[in-house]
Amino acid sequence: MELDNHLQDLWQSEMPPPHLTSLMHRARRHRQTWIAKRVVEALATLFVAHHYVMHTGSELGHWLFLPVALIFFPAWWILSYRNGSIARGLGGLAPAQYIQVRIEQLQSGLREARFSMWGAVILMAYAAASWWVMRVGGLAATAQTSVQPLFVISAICAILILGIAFWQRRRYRRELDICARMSHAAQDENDT
Amino acid sequence: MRTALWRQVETLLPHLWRVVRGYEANLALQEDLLQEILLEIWESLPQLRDPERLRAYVLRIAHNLGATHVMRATRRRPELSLDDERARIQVQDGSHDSHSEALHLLEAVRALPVPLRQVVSLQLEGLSYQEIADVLGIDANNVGVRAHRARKRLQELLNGAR
Repeated sequence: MELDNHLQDLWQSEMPPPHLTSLMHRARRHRQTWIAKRVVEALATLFVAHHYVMHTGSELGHWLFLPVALIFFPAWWILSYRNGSIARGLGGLAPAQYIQVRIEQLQSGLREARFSMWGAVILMAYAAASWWVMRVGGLAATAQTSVQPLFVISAICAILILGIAFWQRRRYRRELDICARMSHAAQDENDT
Repeated sequence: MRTALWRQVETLLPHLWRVVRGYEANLALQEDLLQEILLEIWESLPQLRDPERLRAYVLRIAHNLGATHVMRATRRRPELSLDDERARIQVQDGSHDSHSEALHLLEAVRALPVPLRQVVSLQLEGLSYQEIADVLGIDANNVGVRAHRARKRLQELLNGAR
């Protein structure tokens, strides 16, 4: 004996709340982006390490950007390790947990954005200071020619990083606000 | 392998959600129960021998946990918050009639005893008697008997609600 089609249609019209599914997609995409970003960072670190170990490129550039390689990359990796525990913690894959995981992802994203902003500002200040010292110090014309592109590239990179970090911070903050409200609403429902 | 299967499980999320709705009225507890079911499925996926039978496997886990949830809930004080559920359903869509009808159906299914509720909700998902028998681990004839009783009781409940 079959149940009416009408009843079946009515029953099957019930779908899971949209926040449960879209949150899953966002959290998973965040994890994939996180992995992609870490791969790029690893490649950048290897590139810089290779640059120093093999001692290729401008001698002056090596000295000027040594602090960046010594401080920026280790700090970057420490931060990545800290945020990595959140990406690894995505094993449960259960909707209610996703709100919490997403909040943690967004908080880690904000930390990364803040770090990028400070990194960009320091990089720009360092490049500008080095440029000024080089000008005042009266460096030889050939040395100036070899180092100049390095400064231009670092300034462009700093501006790009700063812009992306501002955009990310705004986006993460907005979503964090939504998730926090959702989490509070769920908590209130549990309490009542 | 587990990840690939999990992607298929996700396509069954609407079915699982309806199973949960059939066992629990409270919205917050529904999300908790769904979470519990998904976790159990995730843990149990490596034990699935035949991936072709994933749907039956997943629904069996969901119904077993749903039945356990009901048993646990009957020991606790009843927590029915249908008012906020009605409000949510009305907010979701302006078409009040079909949603209130869906809500009556849901309430009627929830009012059935667990063995009948399981058969009815699986029938409403479009499963055949044999498939229901596989999910519940009972004989197909037994499914037929339960389905007959459930349908009769469901009609009484739906007519009573009108």
